[in-house]
Amino acid sequence: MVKDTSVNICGVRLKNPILCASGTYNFRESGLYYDPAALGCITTKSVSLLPWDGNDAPKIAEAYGGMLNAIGLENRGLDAYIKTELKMLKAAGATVMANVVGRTAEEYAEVAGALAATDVDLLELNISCPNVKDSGIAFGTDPKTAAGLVAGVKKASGGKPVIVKLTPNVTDITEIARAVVDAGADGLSLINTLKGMRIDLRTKQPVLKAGGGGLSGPAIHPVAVRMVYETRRAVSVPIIGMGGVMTGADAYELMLAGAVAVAVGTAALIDPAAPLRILEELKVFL
Amino acid sequence: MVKAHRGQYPVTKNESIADGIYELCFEAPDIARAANAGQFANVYLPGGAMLLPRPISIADVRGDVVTLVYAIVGGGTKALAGIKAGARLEIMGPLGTGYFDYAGSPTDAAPSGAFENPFTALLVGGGVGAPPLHFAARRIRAARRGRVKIVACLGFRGHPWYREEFERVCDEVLLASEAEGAAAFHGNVAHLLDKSFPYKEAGSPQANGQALPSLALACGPRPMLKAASDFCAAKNITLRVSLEERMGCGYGACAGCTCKTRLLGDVLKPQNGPNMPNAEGFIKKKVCAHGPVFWADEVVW
Ligand SMILES: Cc1cc2nc3c(=O)[nH]c(=O)nc-3n(C[C@H](O)[C@H](O)[C@H](O)COP(=O)(O)OP(=O)(O)OC[C@H]3O[C@@H](n4cnc5c(N)ncnc54)[C@H](O)[C@@H]3O)c2cc1C
Ligand SMILES: Cc1cc2nc3c(=O)[nH]c(=O)nc-3n(C[C@H](O)[C@H](O)[C@H](O)COP(=O)(O)O)c2cc1C
Ligand code: FES
Repeated sequence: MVKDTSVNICGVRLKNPILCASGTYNFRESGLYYDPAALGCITTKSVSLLPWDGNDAPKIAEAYGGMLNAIGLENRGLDAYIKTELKMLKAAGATVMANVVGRTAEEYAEVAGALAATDVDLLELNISCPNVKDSGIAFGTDPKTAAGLVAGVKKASGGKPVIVKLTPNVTDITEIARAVVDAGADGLSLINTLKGMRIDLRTKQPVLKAGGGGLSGPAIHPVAVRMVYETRRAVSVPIIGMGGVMTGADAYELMLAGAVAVAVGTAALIDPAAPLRILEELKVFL
Repeated sequence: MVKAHRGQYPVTKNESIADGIYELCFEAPDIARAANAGQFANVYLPGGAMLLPRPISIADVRGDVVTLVYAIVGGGTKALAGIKAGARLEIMGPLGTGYFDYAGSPTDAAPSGAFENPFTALLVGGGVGAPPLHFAARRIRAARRGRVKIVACLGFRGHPWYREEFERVCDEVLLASEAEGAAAFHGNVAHLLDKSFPYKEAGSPQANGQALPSLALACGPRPMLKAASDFCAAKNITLRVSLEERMGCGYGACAGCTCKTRLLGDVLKPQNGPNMPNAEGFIKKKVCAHGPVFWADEVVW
């Protein structure tokens, strides 16, 4: 008999506990390498009300055992997302979590509201992206602002489960976690990227055009394990763990720390089929 | 985009062919069969410290063997140079668009107008941008045999290398070097182009009786590509360029490599990827998936 590896997140059944992380999956291209319905859930790239251009290149830099990105949340906007990416993923039978960004609390609520009327399965609020100067960072680092944002989104999202994605770039992640859960968050996902920078020795200037970027990949895995562990002990809503998962063992470690499900980001950039491999490796532990 | 192949392929050769330049050959029947000139391969370094792929253009395909030519510029390419023949290397490819993947191209079974009759193809390359053009030249020659004249204009910082390879397939190989005395022409490729093709515009008579190139292909550093683009625009030569950008994935998932392009609205120049301009009139495209080969006039330089 095939073992049931499904998990339940806020009333949504994921057929297994492996997701792909926001910003590291694109249906047209990643979809060539595996069936999106084979994963527990596909988290899509952050989507905003109107298209965002993102930053100029270079937007990628390497770090020891990791990478920095300053994509700047480049996306084609809500309309295009609903008509293309979301439609194609749902038609392919995938469970989909739409990741939402905005410049203002109202914009978050508007996007969440529009998505609530679609067949998307879960909403994930990116209140933590450290790349965009005038957005994410302010929401995700101040408990009051974060709570206000979540309360507004919950009101607009008509019962669609709202997962709040937390930034590790805070003094105490449990403080923010409690604040957003008190404001109505149905679940949490963590961690987003850590602030970082590389400097080119020849030009003596930052490698990334935007200056700094977000660190991801195996280098941040222990940070993720600790933050999931601490957050698990502070709140009782389901936690989706992520950060530097390269193997099934890495994923299992996050589950031991308290995550119900685990998302794979950077590993999928290195190998498009990594999420499937990690799922197979994880099954040995479950 | 089509799915790329990936595997641990056996390295058959990895040797220095010039100062700081290496030629890497590996046996990969699946990549070899699928590869087109202009496409690239992602090379992954062993060890786990350097995670990101190193995108390297495909420089040649012979039988099951794929050749890449790379310059040592940093930690990754330095580590790559240490890999010995016989070892296995994680590689994914072919990736991206090629020079000839549009209907009516010179290697198409039914080439469009300009390429049915004898025509001249111009190759403009700089440094490690040269080898992929050699692959392109071989593909054009194979498809059009005697009905094409191929002229290569190549620039090097020091002593030219890969010269014999080009001479074997091109009718003319013009070389420039920034090092005095290292090549027949002292200076960069842009200057060499101006000197070699003094005629003003399509159709105007030429001093040396050369046919005007119908098509130009360029690969090399961005300033060289920009110069080639200006040159070809002034002379009404169709140019395809291969762009470079830092890549997170190399297959289209991360948007790390996007560049600014514009809509051409020319049926003879089909464009890949999205076609909705933003508020500024630009379309952001992924160099790895919608490129690396673009029409020179769609690139916002
Ligand atoms: C489509 C494409 C085709 C290419 N073809 C060739 C080729 O045929 N021969 C060749 O010698 N080089 C080629 N390059 C450039 C080559 O990818 C870089 O020189 C190489 O990645 C440098 O790695 P490194 O670790 O030695 O340098 P480092 O500077 O230590 O690398 C750090 C990071 O920056 C990236 N990086 C550094 N320089 C470049 C660059 N110029 N372009 C893209 N990424 C860069 C690396 O991949 C790595 O992620 C190509 C690049 C692209 C995008
Ligand atoms: C290239 C890239 C783009 C990303 N884009 C987003 C994004 O749009 N929204 C978001 O919430 N997180 C984004 N992230 C963060 C990831 O979803 C994830 O939280 C983080 O990378 C840690 O996981 P990893 O180490 O497995 O990559 C991005 C990460 C990378 C590497
Ligand atoms: S490098 Fe990731 S989309 Fe091009």
